[in-house]
Amino acid sequence: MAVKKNIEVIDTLQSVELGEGVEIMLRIAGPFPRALALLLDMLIIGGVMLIFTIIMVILEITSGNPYVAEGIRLIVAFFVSWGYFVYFECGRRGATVGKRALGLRVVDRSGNNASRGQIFVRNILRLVDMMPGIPGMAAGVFIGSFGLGFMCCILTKKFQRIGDLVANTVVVYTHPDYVVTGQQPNVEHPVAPTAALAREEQVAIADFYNRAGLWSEARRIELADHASELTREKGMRGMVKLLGMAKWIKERGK
Amino acid sequence: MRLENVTAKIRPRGRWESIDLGCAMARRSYGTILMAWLITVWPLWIGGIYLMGTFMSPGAHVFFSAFWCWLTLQIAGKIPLFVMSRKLFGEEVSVFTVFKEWWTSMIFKNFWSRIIGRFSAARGLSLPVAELEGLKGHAYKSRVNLLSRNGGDGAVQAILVCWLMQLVMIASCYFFVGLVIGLYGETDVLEMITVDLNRYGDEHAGWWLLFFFYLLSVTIIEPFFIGAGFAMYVNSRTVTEGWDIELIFKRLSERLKTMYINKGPSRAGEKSSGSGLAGGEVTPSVAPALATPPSLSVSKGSPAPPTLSKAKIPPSLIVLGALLGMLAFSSPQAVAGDARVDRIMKSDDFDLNRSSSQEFESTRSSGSSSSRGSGSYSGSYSPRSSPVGNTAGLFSGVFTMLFWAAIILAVAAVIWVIYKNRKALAKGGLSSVDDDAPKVKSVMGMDVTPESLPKEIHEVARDAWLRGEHQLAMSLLYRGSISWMVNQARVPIIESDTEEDCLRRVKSIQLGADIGSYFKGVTTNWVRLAYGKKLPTDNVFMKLCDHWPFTKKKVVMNLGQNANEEGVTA
Repeated sequence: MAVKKNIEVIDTLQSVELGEGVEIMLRIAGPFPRALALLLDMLIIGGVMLIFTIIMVILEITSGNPYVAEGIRLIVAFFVSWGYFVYFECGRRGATVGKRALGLRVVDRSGNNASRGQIFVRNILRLVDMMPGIPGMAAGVFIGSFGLGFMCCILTKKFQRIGDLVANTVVVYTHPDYVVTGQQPNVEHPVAPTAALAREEQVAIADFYNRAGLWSEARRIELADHASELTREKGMRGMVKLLGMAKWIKERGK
Repeated sequence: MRLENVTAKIRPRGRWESIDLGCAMARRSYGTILMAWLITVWPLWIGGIYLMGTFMSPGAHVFFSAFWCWLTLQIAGKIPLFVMSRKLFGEEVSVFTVFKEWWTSMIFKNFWSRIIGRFSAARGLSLPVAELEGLKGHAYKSRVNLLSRNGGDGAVQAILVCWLMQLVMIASCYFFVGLVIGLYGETDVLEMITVDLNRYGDEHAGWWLLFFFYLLSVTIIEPFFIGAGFAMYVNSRTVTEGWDIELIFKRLSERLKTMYINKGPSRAGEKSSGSGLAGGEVTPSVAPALATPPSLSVSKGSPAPPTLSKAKIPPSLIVLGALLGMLAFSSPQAVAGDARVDRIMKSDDFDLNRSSSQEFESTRSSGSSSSRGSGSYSGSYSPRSSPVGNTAGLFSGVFTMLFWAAIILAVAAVIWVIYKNRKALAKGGLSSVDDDAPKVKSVMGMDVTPESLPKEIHEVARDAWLRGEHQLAMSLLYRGSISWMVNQARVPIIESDTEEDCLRRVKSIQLGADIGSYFKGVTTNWVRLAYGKKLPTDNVFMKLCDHWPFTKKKVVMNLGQNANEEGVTA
């Protein structure tokens, strides 16, 4: 039979304690958006290489000497496949094109911008994350399956691949927290709460006001009934009073 | 389901963040899910495959086996969902429980609906709707539509990424097997395995291998995909039903109830619709002092503004409340206290109490700017040192240096390559064979100077072969061929070239079809003997000797005018 136990509460918002005892929350991105971002980056790299290869093939044919063109192609392949990630992640947005499209960026585990050294390390170790793959760099690009990096990413708490673990970096979301709002009810008179409220409780009451338009009347009343210890009312009166409290909180918060 | 026991932070999340929560849930129960999967889903698959094998042809067998496993994946998804949904609400499920549930009821429940559900693009989200709410038909469809519009809009993206991940895992399996058994480059070994599989095994062995890798990848990935779907479902319900708010209201009521009980019956029985104050709620024992009930009318017809009481709040309590982070606003009664609190909070000692939210600035310039009193911080990242950061700082310093060193080296390398090839670049093209190409003396460690070889190479090789010195005989032919290519045909072979490189270079020189194919034959047989220890047959070797093209007479015949210009007569 199922057994009740004290199970750790998980969240996508993960706290990081800094040296001064300050705790910050990072919204760390998981394997799904990261995989999609990587796919986009790979497509960009592949596209660039394809165009460049076509140019080089034309040069080879016209010049009659395949060696110089081949050499340049290999050098460019090396720089594009390795430098692409380092260049963009060292940039001010700390993200490759794929990551930016998905609203991600690379930061230090403390939330600071990752240093160039860290970016360099995490991308050098991309080779390890790409294992297992086909050895040899005949095409100028290592062909790997990303199996190791993927397994590491899904099995670590902060969704870090090996490069991230070594370089002490994480990939986080850049866009603001998700906010849901509906049509807001018309409340004329604010009502002061009957008890002291914790911050989380105040936010919940304000959210009740903001999202009230998303729910049916019955659901609004049902939710307000759960807070009847605060409103000291049930049913419609309780809901109206709770909305009044929400308005009071919102006005005070301005 | 008791929302109070939930073991994940419930709040509305964006598309990808809710999927991330699903991954975190799957990771938390990964061991249980994998074990349960092994003793429930795999037997179902293997049983089906075995049954099909009894009456199907081998070709149809592999195809329909794969189809069977693919089709039942939505039924298999019940396993991770069962484990995760219970764990989310605080129940630890054992593998044995899953096993019992699976074979007694889970597998048969809505069997055909799940088979049909397999074809849905949003199957990750629809599975929890069907399994946890038990909806069917029109109600099920409209429910899925509603949830997918409200917070479940990532279901299709999730399945796309899931396919990508499955491809990654299948490729990983192939590469891993290649690394372990084949050792890339050793094409002979791979060739032998393929030949053996075809000769002694099923002719569909390759398909079976792919099928097995598919099952492995699905076993690894599917829990995360189902977790993502389940988390999207929870997210949708959080948005559409306000789960997060319900949860906090319940806890709030619970807290207040405890507080009122501690205050005693006189307070607990109070049904005044009064406004107390929202000062600092510290402990139940101080609550009476804080909750002085004034009168307040909230009647629908004539809502009157709150009547303020003359409650006196001990400022020390307010300060204490503020310190505990419980004071976010104060009632109108506490204006005097507020002023004092504001004064105290403005002092430098209370900087720690600022809540902060980070925003990524658009420039790299750093510097901290905290807005006092507003409780928000929207400055840039100020580079702080931390215990972790100190070590990382050292490393990052070293690696920053390495980074710049690598950049400088790379730039130097590019300049060097351009300098070395300046002639070619200046001319825009050269003749395909450089007349000044240095003659190499050895290739792959083999001496290729004409002096090191007998004059009639093929005759000497033939004698060696007949004496039983096969390696020597074959090496003479190969070495002789390379020597001719380097010294007579001026093929730009260099010392570090491999057999494949030599072949490629010879091919690019256009020496004639006969010489090209002969050199290819010699190379293939040499590689097989040298690395695979596979001897060519007597017949093959004798043919190689008979067709030896690198005598003066034959070469003139074969090459024609172009070859003559290359100095064949030398």
